[in-house]
Amino acid sequence: MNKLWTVFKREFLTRVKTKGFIIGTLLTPLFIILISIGPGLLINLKSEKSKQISVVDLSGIVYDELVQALNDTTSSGQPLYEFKKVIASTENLDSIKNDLSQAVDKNKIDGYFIIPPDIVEKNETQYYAKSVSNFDENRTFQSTISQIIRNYRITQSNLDPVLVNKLTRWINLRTFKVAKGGEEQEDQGLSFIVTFIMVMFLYMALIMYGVFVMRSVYEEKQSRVVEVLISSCKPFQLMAGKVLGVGAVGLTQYFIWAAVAALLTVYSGSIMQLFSAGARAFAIPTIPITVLVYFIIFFILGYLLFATIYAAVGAMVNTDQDAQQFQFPVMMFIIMAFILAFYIIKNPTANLSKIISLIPLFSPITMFTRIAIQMPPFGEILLSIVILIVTIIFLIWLAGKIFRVGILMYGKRPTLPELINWIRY
Amino acid sequence: MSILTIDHIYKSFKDIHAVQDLSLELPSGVIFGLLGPNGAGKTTTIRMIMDIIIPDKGKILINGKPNTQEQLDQVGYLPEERGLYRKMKVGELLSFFAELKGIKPSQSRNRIKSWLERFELIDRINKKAEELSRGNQQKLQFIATIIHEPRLIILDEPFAGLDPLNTELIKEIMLEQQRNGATIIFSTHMMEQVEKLCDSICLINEGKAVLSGELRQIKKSFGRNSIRMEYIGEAKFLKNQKLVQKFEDHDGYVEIYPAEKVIIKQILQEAIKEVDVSRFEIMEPSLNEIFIEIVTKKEREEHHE
Repeated sequence: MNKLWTVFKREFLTRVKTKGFIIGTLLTPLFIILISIGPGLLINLKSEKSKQISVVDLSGIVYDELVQALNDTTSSGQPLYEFKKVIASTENLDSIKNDLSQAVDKNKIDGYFIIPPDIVEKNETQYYAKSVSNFDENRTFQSTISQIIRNYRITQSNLDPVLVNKLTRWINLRTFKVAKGGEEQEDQGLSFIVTFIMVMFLYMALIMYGVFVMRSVYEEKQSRVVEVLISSCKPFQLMAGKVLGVGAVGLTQYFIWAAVAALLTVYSGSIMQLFSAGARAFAIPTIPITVLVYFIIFFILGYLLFATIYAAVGAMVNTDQDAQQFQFPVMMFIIMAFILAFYIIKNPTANLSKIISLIPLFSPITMFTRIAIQMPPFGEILLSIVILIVTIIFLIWLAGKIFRVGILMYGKRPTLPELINWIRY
Repeated sequence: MSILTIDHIYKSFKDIHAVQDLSLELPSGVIFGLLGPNGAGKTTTIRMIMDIIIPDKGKILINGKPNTQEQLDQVGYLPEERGLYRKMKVGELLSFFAELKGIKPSQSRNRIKSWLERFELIDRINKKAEELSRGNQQKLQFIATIIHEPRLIILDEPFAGLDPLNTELIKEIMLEQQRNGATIIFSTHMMEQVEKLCDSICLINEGKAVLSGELRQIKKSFGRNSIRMEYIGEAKFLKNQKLVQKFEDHDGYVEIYPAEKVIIKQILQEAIKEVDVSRFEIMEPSLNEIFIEIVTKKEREEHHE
């Protein structure tokens, strides 16, 4: 037991102290913060400078309305757009366009509109500027001018624009999730996103930490440290110490991330306020505590299952190439479970969903998906967990056997009959 | 009581009989050499002692008890294939190996420092193992082997890859450990090392023990001494087949191999009669010669069968 602790401690400390771990652990939350509140911040940031825009309105119906509609202000309270009307006719349009383009080139104005005389029929207008890649601004221009032309057409048809807008309004579809006990909760597609993110995390963690265990075993074998280790402790202690050590690294990393996420949920509003007054707090959906508990349970069980298999794989191989080849079938199970999770998200109550959430190599991901999307009966969850634990115990026994022999086998990689012999040994 | 007992062990890998019917009895406090050519079964034997591989047949006892983990904690083992955690710092690495043998880090700290000082590695204590030169890594591994002050030290080819200076240092420490009461087994195929260090040896070839016992005894019983003689004059007796089996003329001296059942005194008497002898030295057979003779004799016998 003491030696298991020694192996565990070394595995944990050497990993946690690496630059990779520290950077990865700290940068990931920073990255999440950036993508979650960054866009909110940017949207609320206002331009500092007014824009000089000339308008050549050959139709004669757009200019006044445009000036009235685009009344945004800069951060210092000045009008954002300063429009200037340019008088022109179809005859001298080319030379005027030339002059305006020169003005844009020399930064005298920021851009100009050409509103053709037949805009109502042709449904087209032009905007010229040095930079036309501000999609947000383009959309604003387009929708503003569209609205002006629409209202013009409606008035021309002797109808009341206000009435027409009222009559053609879109219907808003609100979705509600009925949780356990018939409680209703408004849900705007977030439950799908949250489930997806959690399943994704589970999937990545199983592969990432599994491969860590494999590499760790395989590196000890390659650097031949293993001979001293195996003469100082039981192979099982070595394997268990490694699996638990890497697992503890994973849990540590996840707890740090979870803590950051929790802080972010609580303080996201005030963080946003710091940057820009009046900004809308970005809503991070809350995850029910039971789902979180199951997440941890299935993470731990799934990790133990795959880390054990990966440890055995690490003990079997001698070269990087073999490692790649041998880990592939294992990874296939995780990938398949991930793909099946999509089916479950769509059909959480189908019989197939129930079956695949009980199969031990899939269940860490598939059963958790069911839990996150629609809580299954407790009996089914329990059955899935029991099957999983029995499988893990069996695999630990099996991997222990393979590990015992494989760890000292150098040279060629084992064939299947040889593997069976190792297990009997 | 013997510190190590090997009782008729056998080990085969597929069709290769790596070790066959090997028995050893090792008294406490000796330096014991396990000799033999490459592939003789030395490393296999050592691995069986360390419970890394299990013998097909036979028993191995340490301090009279089976070689379980508890007994092996008092053994220091330097494997033939050296290996360290390359990314670990020197000090942490030694602390880990000590802890793995049951010594708490708080207890091993000072020991680690004094060993590193002795090997002139103390300034590398916070360097990663991979940053050390190959020779220094060897030294580090040697420290890791004895850091828990084992009663039994097993060294598989301890001098491989070391320069003469470090070879001397390791030898010195081996003798020092012996004085402190440790028993040392080491394997080698370099016979010269053995003659200077060992009290007892076991010569193995093709998995079988061909010769074992106290070194002095072996050399004595192996009556194939030669004589080195320096002389002035004409030595006719050298041609006498009854006295001299053969002789070799070297630069300044002649090496004489007495015929069988000839007492060396007889040769000396003959020599004094005929020439002026300025040197007459009885040379013990070197282990090398003994080894080659035994192995070739065996092969010849097998050939005859």
